[in-house]
Amino acid sequence: MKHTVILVGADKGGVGKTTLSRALLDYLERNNVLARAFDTENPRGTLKRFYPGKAEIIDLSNVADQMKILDTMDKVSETVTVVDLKAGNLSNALEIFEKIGVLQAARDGVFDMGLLHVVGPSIASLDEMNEVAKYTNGLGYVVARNFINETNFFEWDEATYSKYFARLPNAREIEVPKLNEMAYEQVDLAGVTFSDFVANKSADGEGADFSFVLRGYVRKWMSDIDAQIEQLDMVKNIMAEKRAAAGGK
Amino acid sequence: MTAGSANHPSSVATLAEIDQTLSSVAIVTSDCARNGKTLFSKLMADLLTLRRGDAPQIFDTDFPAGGLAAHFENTSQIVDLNRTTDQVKIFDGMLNSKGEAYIIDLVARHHSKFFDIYRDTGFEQGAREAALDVTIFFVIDRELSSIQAARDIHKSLRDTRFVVVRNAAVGDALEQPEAAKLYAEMRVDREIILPDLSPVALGMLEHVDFHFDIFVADGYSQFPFELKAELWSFLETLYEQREQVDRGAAQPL
Repeated sequence: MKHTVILVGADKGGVGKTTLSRALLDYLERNNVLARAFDTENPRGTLKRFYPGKAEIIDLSNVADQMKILDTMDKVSETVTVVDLKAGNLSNALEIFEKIGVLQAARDGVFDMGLLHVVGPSIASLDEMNEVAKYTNGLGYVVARNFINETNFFEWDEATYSKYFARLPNAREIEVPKLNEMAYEQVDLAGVTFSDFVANKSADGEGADFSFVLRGYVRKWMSDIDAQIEQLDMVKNIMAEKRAAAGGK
Repeated sequence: MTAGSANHPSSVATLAEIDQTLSSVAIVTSDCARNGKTLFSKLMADLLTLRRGDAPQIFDTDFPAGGLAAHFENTSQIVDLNRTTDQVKIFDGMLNSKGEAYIIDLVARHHSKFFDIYRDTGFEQGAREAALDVTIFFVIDRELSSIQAARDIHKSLRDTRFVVVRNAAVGDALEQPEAAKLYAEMRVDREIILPDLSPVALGMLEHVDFHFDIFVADGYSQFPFELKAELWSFLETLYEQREQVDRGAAQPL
């Protein structure tokens, strides 16, 4: 089964990269797709707090850590690698990957690669899309507009956004729906996955006492974001490969 | 007794049982304002007090005014459905309760929001798992749209007991063929009709100091005979309808 690398990034902090990474990992886990994750928020780590057994903190500028991602793909049981890129590090990471031939390898079909680019409400986010576009040829490029924290005060209007978006060949877009603030905070405080929060399980796997209402909000949000994730070609391919592999067995 | 069953729960449960169950919830709602919803909530609270011996807990969603809360100061909470903390207070509070009876007086402006939360959080299933017995009392108004709103709620919450309340003083649209058709589609096998009252009797019912448990205990001996007779008649009519509902008797249109 061909390995898939999914980069989740933005050139700005606080736009919801890690939330989207968590939602994606959650989706894959619920669909029985083995995935591993790299948290480049070095040294503290953000994603690792929610996926201690699945995520590893790395420094993407470190060659040994780059090797951890790229030279292990055909050796691990996981078929998907999610890389949660450090805030402000998207263009830099893409430049590194281009230089060392990773992007070209993906274009050549050695493995699949997708980029989930989370954009925030500022005009700078639109310029980011232009900046990133030069690397995305031949990759699955997805612009994720994040509404999770009710980022509905986008500085740009739809027409401006559409103009920028139209310049991106083969780009897709998804929307990260809004999640009730209190529910979001409680999941964050609990340090559990969205699925475990809904299942009322604590980080150590024991029964928890999370609010029924808040769990309901998270369940609804998960259902909404699942619908967004499912429409991505990279995810469709992963699921198709999984079905094919299961059929082959 | 649980609310969930393969059949519509109304066919297997009685309102007498609801009163005796470990925890029960009566949601009094309408898509329109000023059609006797709060009055009906008050009557429900009084009837529950008469049956159970203690007053139900009341969530009054008319924040900040709290119309019903003024009638039950010691057992009411005025809640703001726009606040998540209050949503948690209502829904989590009910699911975690032991042996309480609840009445939610749902103000018309929050009707849609409340049932969005109800559906989105999966409260129907949660209530079933918690053996929480829920009944929706929908007070229909005089417009066809009100029957449609009732039908929509009934259709989307199949496992929750649903009772239509018709207020004779307000009227309804059931004379219209389309309304009657929608009503029949709801397959309403339980309804309560609030009889029309004289202005004096209605004014008395709406008074914050009037309660039927006190009335039954002859606490208002100074009332004129005619007023007492009318209130007794009203109470008996309500009781009789509740008994009919208990027996699952259908009220033909």
